Amino acid sequence: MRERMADPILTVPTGSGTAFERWRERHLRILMLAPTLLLLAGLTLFPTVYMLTAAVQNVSPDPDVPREFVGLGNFARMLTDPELHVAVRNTVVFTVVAVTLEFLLGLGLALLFDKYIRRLNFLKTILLVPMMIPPIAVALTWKLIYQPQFGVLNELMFRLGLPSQAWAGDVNLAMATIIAADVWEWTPFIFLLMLAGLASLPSEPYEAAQVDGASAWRQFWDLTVPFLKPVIAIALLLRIMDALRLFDLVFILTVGGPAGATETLSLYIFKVAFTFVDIGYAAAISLVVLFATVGFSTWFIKRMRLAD
Amino acid sequence: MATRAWHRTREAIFRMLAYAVMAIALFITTFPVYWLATNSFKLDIDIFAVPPVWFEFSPTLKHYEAAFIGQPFLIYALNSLIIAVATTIVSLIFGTMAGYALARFHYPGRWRYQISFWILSTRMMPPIVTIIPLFIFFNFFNLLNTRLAVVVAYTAFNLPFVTWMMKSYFQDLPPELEEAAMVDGDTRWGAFVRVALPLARPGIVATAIFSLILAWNEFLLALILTQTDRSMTLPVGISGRVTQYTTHWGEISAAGFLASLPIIIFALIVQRHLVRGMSFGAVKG
Amino acid sequence: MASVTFRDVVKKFGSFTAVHDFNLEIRDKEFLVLLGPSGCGKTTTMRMVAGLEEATSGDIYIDADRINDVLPKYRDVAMVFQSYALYPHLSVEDNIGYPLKIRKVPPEEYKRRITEVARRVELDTMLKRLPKELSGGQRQRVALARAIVRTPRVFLMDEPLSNLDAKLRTQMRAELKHLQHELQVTTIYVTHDQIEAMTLAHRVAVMNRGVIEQLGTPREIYNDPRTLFVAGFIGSPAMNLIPGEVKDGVFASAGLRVGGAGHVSIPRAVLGVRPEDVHVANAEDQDVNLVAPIYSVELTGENTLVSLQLGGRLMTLRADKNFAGQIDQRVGVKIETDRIFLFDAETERRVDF
Repeated sequence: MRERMADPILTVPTGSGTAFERWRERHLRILMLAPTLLLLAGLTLFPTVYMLTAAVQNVSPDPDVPREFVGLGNFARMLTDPELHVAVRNTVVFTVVAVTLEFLLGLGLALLFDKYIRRLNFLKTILLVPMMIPPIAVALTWKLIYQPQFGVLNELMFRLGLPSQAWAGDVNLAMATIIAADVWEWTPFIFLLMLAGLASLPSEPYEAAQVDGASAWRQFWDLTVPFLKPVIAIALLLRIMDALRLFDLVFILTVGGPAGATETLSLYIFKVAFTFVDIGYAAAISLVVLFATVGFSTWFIKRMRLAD
Repeated sequence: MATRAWHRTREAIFRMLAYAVMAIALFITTFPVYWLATNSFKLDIDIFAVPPVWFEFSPTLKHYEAAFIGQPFLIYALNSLIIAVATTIVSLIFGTMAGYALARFHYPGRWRYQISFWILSTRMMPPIVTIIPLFIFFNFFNLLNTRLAVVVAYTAFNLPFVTWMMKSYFQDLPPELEEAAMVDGDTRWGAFVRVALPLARPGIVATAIFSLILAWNEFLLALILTQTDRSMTLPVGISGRVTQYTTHWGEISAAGFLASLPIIIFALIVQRHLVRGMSFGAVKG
Repeated sequence: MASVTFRDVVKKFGSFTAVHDFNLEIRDKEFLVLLGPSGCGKTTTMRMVAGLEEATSGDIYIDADRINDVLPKYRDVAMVFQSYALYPHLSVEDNIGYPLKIRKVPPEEYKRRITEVARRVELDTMLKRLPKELSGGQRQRVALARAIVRTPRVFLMDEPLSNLDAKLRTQMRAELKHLQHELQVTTIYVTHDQIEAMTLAHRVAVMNRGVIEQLGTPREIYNDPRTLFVAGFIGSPAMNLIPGEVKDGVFASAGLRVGGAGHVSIPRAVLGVRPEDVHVANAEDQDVNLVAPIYSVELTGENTLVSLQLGGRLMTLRADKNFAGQIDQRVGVKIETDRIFLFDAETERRVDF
């Protein structure tokens, strides 16, 4: 570079830097992404490859017994496994009922509060608690409440003059108890997201609609719902993905019982893999669940244009 | 046509209704936590009392003593803390860089979208479907029942969240600030470290706290990867005592409440960022 | 103390070409303005000098040094951003001192330079404040101070005045011009505001769709527009552009005939005439070019803008401030025929005659 003026601060930055600096700046994009991409590739690729191989084999719990190739046998077993079918049905029922209830309650409360209660910070603080504390603590708390002998719920039944129930121990009520605990835990999530969505709505379209003579009902359907759609989509996606993998609550409250009434897919895979030690079959179920959930979420995200 | 007076009356009724609903919602939300907390301070005779003892009981720390001195819950809590902090540090270092790279650099075609989407999709993977290979993997390297294994697994599971959160925070910052720094004599890396990072500090703190909470609360992976007292986390320790035939309600209530307490405090700190945190940065609260 | 040269520079974003075969030499100590509408590639061109964008092909030189592959920090240019890009977490003093801090300037020298620069831009009483505690004009001056605290080879200014209100903008414009004259630093200034371009520049490069339409002094650009785009873009109110046909030197359009264009013939032509070169006359006069009804009358203070309905379009002229015509009144119009421009509508270029 050419001669510079005798200005002390100008003498420093001429030149083109060290070779390392140039190399780092040129490749900074990939250098900054690499650790994350490598770790995530490890987390996804290795398990997928492992499961693809295990799923077509019969893997014995005894490491000395060689693996036996069974082709699609493990997948065929899934078609005729009644316990798996129950687990799938339970998972779907739980997801649909729990998420629907959480959504309706959360949205309803958000609409009501957004309009009539201005100072919400205190309320928000309280609502943090159920969804932030460890799920195990949530499960424990509801186990205390559902406890048939000294639990609070049966005390309430007694006060209302109704017969006491076994709750989580009752085939007909067990799923409802799981759903109730989940609704308690996650309705605040929907509520807070909807409230944030409502708070970000622009006021001008509503003023225009009022001037145009639209009723509150029309304003809700013509303005609020379209504006909230992205937030609703995100809230539902996250809740559905979470509900499909339900494990903690059932593991503590019912362990899948009674008589499989609350056995979910996660719990069933756990049992097949670690209680029956049937790794090949567990891998086959896992693969199907993996493709189903990733497929569903991919479809949902693309359809709702959430990742842009 | 509706008169003004009628309209006002209707509004007043709705307002009263809203307050009533809020009171009920608050009661339903708080009562279970109150019940867990009070049970941890009750003598066994009060825990098992029928009808339940609502308010008037003589508080005791007996269960805390039993859980944290008589039982290894203190070790579990320490394991949980070490694992959560280590996970948070590693995933924040990696995720902040990746989030910045996704927020700032040019990409050919739709690569920015594709990479971001792929990172997010790994988060959509249910943990249960990866635990078998992870179990085999850590077993192979003799890392089962070590905190290191849990930290590695948690870091991988928290990374998509951290990356997306930080991407959303960096996108909120005007890129001209880093550009000004570069023209003023800094490198891109220097502008990231000296300009972008200090400006994103509130976001980094919030993301770190979320990451701590996620790692502290996680149950399923820890259940598979830690079976000994040396590495077992608090949720696994608690669950192990719940499912036994004789449940020590006082002790596990004490452990459960104490596991929840730091989380409640943390949650209060990140309250302002909560909605963004819960939605992977997609909804700005 | 530096010239900037672009040689065949192309910048593509994916399949979109932002800057197209760009050739330009900016002389030492010159104040060059890149002028054009948004999306014309002017900011991209400037950012390539700063190193914030990489040229897809071609060469960029500062003096004799090819800087395409030089990191921004080694280019020794200073830039003022449209948004000012002040570091919100740093005080005014630290903002101004940031370039010095990075260059590890010793403390006494650091102090001396900041004091000197702060006094020059009248910020010496607010060095400890944060950017958010300043007014828009003060923030603008901090950004300026950060650029002039060192003596860079080139100043780059990306619409630095566009976030100021009209009054402050006029004032800062004069200060900028004076400052550049005093510092004698080569300056590239990007704006979409033609008044800024006219008042500040030694030379103006008018850009459109990634190419330079015309390069010249403000006077040349105004008096001698080479293309239809430049003619329409420069001047306020804009030049009247009337489509028509030229046959053997006579321009003809609906209700308008203007002769004297040599012997050229252009099937699709555009006649351009500035509002100040059109005059109102009595409708009955024999030598009026056309008679048309008044569409609107706007008093601007120093004069009156009169719009006339001419076929399906409007023609604007600048009349005396005491002009008293009424809407729909028919008036005669005289065009100064030696002040008209003719353009070929196919090539969009000026036709000399």
